[in-house]
Amino acid sequence: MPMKLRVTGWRYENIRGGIRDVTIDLRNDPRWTLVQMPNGTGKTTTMTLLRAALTGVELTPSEVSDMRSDDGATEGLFELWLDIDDRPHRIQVVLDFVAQTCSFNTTRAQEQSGGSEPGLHIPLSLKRLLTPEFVKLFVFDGEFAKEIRAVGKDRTTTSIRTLYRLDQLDRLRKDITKLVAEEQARAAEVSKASQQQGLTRLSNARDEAETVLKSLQKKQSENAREQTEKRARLEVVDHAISDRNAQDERYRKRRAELDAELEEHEKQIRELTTSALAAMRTPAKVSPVLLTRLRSLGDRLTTLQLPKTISSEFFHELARSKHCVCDTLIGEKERAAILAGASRYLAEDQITVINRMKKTVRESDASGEEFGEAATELRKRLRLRRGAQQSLDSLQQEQVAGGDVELEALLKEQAELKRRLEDVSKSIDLLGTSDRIRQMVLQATWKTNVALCRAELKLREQKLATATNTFNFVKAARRITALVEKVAEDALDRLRESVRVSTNAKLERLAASEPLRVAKIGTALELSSEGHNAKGGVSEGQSLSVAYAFLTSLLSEAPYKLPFIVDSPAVSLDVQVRREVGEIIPELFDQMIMFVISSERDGFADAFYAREDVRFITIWRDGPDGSHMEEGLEAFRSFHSVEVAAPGGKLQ
Amino acid sequence: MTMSGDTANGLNAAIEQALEEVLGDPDETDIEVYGRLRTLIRNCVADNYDESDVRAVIQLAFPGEAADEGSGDD
Repeated sequence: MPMKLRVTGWRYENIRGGIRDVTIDLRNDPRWTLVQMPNGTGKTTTMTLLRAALTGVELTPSEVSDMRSDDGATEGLFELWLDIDDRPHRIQVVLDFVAQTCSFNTTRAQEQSGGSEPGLHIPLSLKRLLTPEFVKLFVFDGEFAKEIRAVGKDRTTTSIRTLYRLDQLDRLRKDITKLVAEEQARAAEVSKASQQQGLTRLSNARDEAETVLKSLQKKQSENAREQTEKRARLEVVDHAISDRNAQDERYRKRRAELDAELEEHEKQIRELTTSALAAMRTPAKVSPVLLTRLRSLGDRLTTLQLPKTISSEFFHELARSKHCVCDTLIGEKERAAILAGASRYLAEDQITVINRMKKTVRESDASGEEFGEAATELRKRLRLRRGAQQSLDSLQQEQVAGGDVELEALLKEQAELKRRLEDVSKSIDLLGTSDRIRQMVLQATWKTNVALCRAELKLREQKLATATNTFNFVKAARRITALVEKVAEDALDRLRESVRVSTNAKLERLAASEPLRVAKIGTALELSSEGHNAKGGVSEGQSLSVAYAFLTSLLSEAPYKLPFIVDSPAVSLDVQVRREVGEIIPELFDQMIMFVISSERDGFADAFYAREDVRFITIWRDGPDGSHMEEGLEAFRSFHSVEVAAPGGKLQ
Repeated sequence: MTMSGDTANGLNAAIEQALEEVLGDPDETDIEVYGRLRTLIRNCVADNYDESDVRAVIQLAFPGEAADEGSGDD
C-alpha cells in the first residue's frame, strides 16, 4: 500500500503578518482548500514554516527573527497537523525569538506515551523522502518552476529516484560494499602478523584507487554541469549579439546575410561530414587504389576457391599429403600437429564474413572516389565557413569600434565562454573516454581517466581479495552489485520516460497552442527546441505550465500519496492557461491546498466554485497586530484587497 | 489520485519491469540466485531487508556455483 500523507490543519502563535494567532482546521478532510491571503499577510511565511515542519530543518536566526509578531513576543509557534497513514501527528516548530533559534516537537496520538517528544518523529521511509529539496516540489511556489528547468540542480532525476525509492538500491549497494570490507577485515585478522603489513599496503592501495575514482567521477559530473550551463549561456549571448547587430540599421542587412551564409555552410558541413564518414566505413569508397586491390583480392579468392579451401578442411587435406605447401616432408608428428591445429583456422562464421566481403566488393557500384570527393567538398566548405566567420568578426569589430560598448562586452563574454567550453570539453574527453586508442593519444592514466581508474580499482581489489582469501566473496559481491545497478538504471530510464510522456500529454492540454514539450528528463527538464521562442527563452507562464505538468506527472503515480500545497498557483499564467490548470491539476491530487491572492480568482479559483468538497478560507490583516479569518465561498468571492501597495483588505 | 503504476506488492511497475528485463531470463545455473536477488531488491525497495539477506545472496552467487554472466567483469 502506498504511504499516505495528509495535512489536517495548522495553527500559528505570535507569528508576524495577518496570521498572528490563526488556526486552520482541515479535519473534515476537504479535497481542495483555497486560502485567500493578500500579499503581506503571511503566505511566504506559511510556506517556509510548512517546509520546516515537514523536513525538521531548522530555520536560520534571521528567518526566526523575521517571523516575530512584535517586540514583546519572546516565543512563537507553528503547529502542523498531519495524518500519516491515518495516524495523527502534530509537529510543532517552536521559535525562540530571543535566542533566534528554532526547535521541533512531535506528538503522536497513538504512541504509548501519547505525549510530546522533542524532535521530528515521522516514519523513517517518509523522513528519508522529505528532504528540503524534495519538499519544495509539493510545497511549491512559482519561483521553483524556473529551478525545475534550471541546469545544475539535478532536481528532476533525484526526485524520481527518491520518490520511487530507487535510492534504496544505493543503500543496498553500500551494504554489499560494507559486507565485503567486513569479510576482508575478518580474513585479515586471522592472517599471520608477517602478512599484516602486506595486507595493509594492499588495502591502502585499494582505498587510494577508490578515492581517485570518486574524485574523477565528481569532476566528471561538475564538467557536465558546467558544460550544460555554459552552452545555455552561450546560446543566450549569441542571440544577444545577433539582436545587437539587428538593432543597428547599418549592420542589420550584412549581419543577416552572413548569418544565412554561415547557417548554410553549417548545414552543408553536417551533411558532408555524414557522407564522408559513411564513405570511410565502406572500404570500396575510400580510394580507387583500395577498390582496385579489393576487387583483385576478391577475384583471387574466387579463383582459388577461397575461403572454402582455407577452412579447417584445407588442413585436413594437407595432413593427408606427403609434402606441405612449402615442400617440407610431412611426418607423423607434423600430421598430428596440423590436425590438432586445424580447428583454430577459419571457423564457419569467419568464412561467412569473407564471403560477404567478396560479394560486397563484387557487387559494389562504388567508384572509389566517394570519400575523396566528400573530403574535398568538406575542406572547401570549411574554408568558406572560416571566411564567413572572419567577415562576421570584422563586422562586429567595426561595430565595436563605432562605440558599441554592450556588444564589446558580449563578444568578450562569448569568447570567454567558448574558451571555457573548449577546456571543459577536453576535460570531459580525457575523463570519460573508454576508447583505448583515444586514451593513448590523450596520454590518459588511471589517475586522469575514469575507465582506467575503474580497471585499476578492480585490479587492486582482486589483489586484496586474493591476499585475504576472499576472492570468491568479492567476485560474487561485484556480480550482485552489477545486477543491482542494471535494475536501478533500467527502472530509472523507464520512470523518466513514463514521467516525460505523461508530462507532455498534460502539456498538450495546458499549452495546446504552443509547441512546448519535454524532450528529455536529465538533470533538468530539457525542452524540445521547437518549444523555445526565437531567443531561446521560455516565459514565466510557460515555465509554470511545464512545472505543473511535470510535478503532477511525477507525484500522481508515486508510491506515496502526498498533498500538493502551492503558493500563488496562477499569478503568472494568462487566463486561458489558468482555466486549463484549474481544470486539470485538481483531479490529480487527493489533497490540494492553494494560497491565492484575489487576482487569481478569475480563471483559476472560480474553476472551484462549482466543485463539491472545497474549503474556501479568507485571511487578512486586521489592524497592525490583528488577524481576521472568514470561512465560506461568499466571503472568498466578495473579498477585496489592494495588493502589494497597501496590504490589507475588507469584506463588502 | 490513481495508483495505476503500482503492483500488488507496492512496487512501481517500472521497477517490476526492470527486474523482469534484467533478471527475468536466467541461465539454468542462475535461477536460484536471480530469484533470491529479485526478492531482495523488492524487499529493499520496501525497506524490509537486513544484512543476512544480502550475505545470503552473495554466497549463493559464488563463482562456480552460478554462471559468470553479469559479473561486472569488463
